[in-house]
Amino acid sequence: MYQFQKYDGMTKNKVSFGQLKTLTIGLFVCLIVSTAYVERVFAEESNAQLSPGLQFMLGASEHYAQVGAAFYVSELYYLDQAGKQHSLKFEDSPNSQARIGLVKLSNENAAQTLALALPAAGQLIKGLGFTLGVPRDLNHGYPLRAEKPLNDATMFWTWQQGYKFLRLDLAGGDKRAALHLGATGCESPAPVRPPQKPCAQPNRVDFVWKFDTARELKNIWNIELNLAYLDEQFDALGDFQMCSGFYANDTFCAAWIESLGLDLERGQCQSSCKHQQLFRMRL
Amino acid sequence: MVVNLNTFTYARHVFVMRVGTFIRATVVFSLFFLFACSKPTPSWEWDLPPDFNPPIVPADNPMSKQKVDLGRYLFYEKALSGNGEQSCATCHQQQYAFAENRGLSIGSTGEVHHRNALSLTNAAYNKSLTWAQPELKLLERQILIPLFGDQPVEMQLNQQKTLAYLKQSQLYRELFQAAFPNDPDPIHLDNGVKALASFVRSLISFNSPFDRYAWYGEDAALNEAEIRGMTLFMSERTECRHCHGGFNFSLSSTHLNSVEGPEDFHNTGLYNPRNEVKLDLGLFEFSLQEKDKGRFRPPTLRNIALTAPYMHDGSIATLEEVLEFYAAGGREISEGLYAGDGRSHPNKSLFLHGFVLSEEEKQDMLAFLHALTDRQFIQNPAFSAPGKVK
Ligand code: HEC
Ligand code: HEC
Repeated sequence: MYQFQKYDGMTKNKVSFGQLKTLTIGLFVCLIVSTAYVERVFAEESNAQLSPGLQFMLGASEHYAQVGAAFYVSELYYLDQAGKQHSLKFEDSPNSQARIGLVKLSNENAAQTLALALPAAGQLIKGLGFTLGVPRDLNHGYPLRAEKPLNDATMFWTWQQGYKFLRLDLAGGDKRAALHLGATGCESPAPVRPPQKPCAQPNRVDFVWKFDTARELKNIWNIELNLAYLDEQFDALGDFQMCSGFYANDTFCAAWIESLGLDLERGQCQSSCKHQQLFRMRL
Repeated sequence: MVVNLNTFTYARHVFVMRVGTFIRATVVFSLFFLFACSKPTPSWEWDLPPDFNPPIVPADNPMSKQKVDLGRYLFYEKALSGNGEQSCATCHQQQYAFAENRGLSIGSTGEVHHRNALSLTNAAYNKSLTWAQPELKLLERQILIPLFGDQPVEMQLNQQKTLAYLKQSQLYRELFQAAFPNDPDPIHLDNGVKALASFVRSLISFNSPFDRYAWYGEDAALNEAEIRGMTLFMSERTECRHCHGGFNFSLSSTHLNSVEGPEDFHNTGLYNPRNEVKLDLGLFEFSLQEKDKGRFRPPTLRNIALTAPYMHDGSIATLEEVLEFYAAGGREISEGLYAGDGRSHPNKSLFLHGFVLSEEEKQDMLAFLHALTDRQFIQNPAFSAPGKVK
């Protein structure tokens, strides 16, 4: 049986606090190194199956030689076999926290994956959906306390308006365009005060893909940013096109907003957002 | 039954991860306590509004009151220049928010600098330093330029002579000793530069009427005209926010909790000369890429009413003219060396599309720009010239 008595040895061979400290630190360092090692071995072993996520990719474009795209993806969910909605979380990463991820694509960086934190493995799903944009409760938070991925000044308008949900910066031929989508018609006493009411045009776009046959959730879901549809709008594009609010005032911007499935006045999808052509899932 | 192997591996992986994370958290916690008991860390209190993130400070030059003290003496020390007549404060004057009231700076040999002295307001937060050098990110490196630069000459430090002077001064011996207590022979260039950098980092300004309104919630800090001006400034109509956005009125600012953006330099349509002339091409001088011609860093607009004249070469005299420049979507120069239409420069930013302001709106915007002045900053005795050195 274990005897408490055994500890007597300690009092006899006096160990100084300094020695004890060095010893403890040494021990701890060993522990850290070894746990990290074990983890790595395991990670390598199971890596191939381990990074389920949404992989966003730039599609091909006929007209635009230079493309910069950045957007927020939030409110992720899947549909189970009965068609019921279950919310999903992103892995914590430099570009994401549970509820929201930021994707930045360019010619140099044409693909980016937002990893999924799987609830439990092995689900079969019949659909996947998310919102393009920042949920209202996160969109007007105190900007200086913003956590990643909302701490990116290039995606921020004002406290009142919140974030740019989507920005497309395009150049092709002699034309250049900056198409920035975000909430408009937000009312508060000043740009540095958050609105109390929802903005008149929330301009968030919901996407959902439904599958005929069930698929495993644990997967890489390839989603293409469809530039071909922007190509279609090329002729209507001015030489220096900018859409960053006042969308209804400009024929090109108005058409662009409507091509996202959004109603100009209400800033919501008509009945559903299924007419959008911005994203395509490649199964 | 079919066992889903992947699922099993995944679950095992997650388990190992969890255990690993737990053990490591425990260890880090214990280590923290072991150290916390024995070693007080030197600290520096940043004077920031609630919840503001402090600037990034390099690990090898942590802030301390003693270093900032020494840096302040050096900043005002004329013995740092070759001719003994110039200090940092000659071109960076507190009354002008550490800029100066002339278009182009003049170095210690009388040579005219090709650029306008930048305000040092919140320089600690700048992602890159000077008007257009993307790779220059550390104040410790930037400060070597005025001290040693010969293109153009700024202070032309004579190292031997200056160090000899500092060493024979009782005050400097004490200041260096206090700032670098672990250095047996502390009076040398590297320490001097570290102290200067610490002083420049301490030049923090977040106490303008705008700040009181925005971050302290003081509704009365701005009047109606200033609020209307702010609304215009931050609107899609003027798009000032696009480049002068964020807590520091410059998207080229960063702090401990922010991420980098790609668009730190812009062409604002200031120049587009018809003839071949020598011109400061900004970012192009580093990248040699056509698309970077005429691109500069948007400076902070804090204390902007104090730092006239404006732009990298001081070529716009007043804030009112700056507004007219932006309203016109750039500048057309009709005659002289630089004749040409900046508005149609191929690199000009899309966000400079021009706009129309009524006279009242213009006055509102000016009122707002004036509300970015932090009186306390330019009167703060901690930043002013110290007493005479014996
Ligand atoms: C002759 C005038 C002159 C003197 C003296 C001078 N500076 Fe400057 N300073 C300038 C000019 C001009 C610039 C802009 C340089 C550029 O863009 O190339 C500048 C830029 C800077 C910047 C960059 C600020 C920013 O926002 O990027 C810092 C920091 C700075 N100076 C600190 C100092 C210090 C410290 C000293 C003394 C050691 C000093 N300067 C001496 C004229 C001067
Ligand atoms: C496309 C980006 C961009 C936009 C939009 C923009 N600025 Fe600037 N701003 C800059 C850059 C870059 C500079 C420095 C230009 C130079 O010196 O060549 C600058 C310089 C200034 C300066 C002079 C700063 C100094 O220290 O000399 C003022 C004042 C200013 N801007 C105000 C405004 C106002 C007001 C608006 C809106 C009407 C605005 N800016 C819109 C990029 C921008």
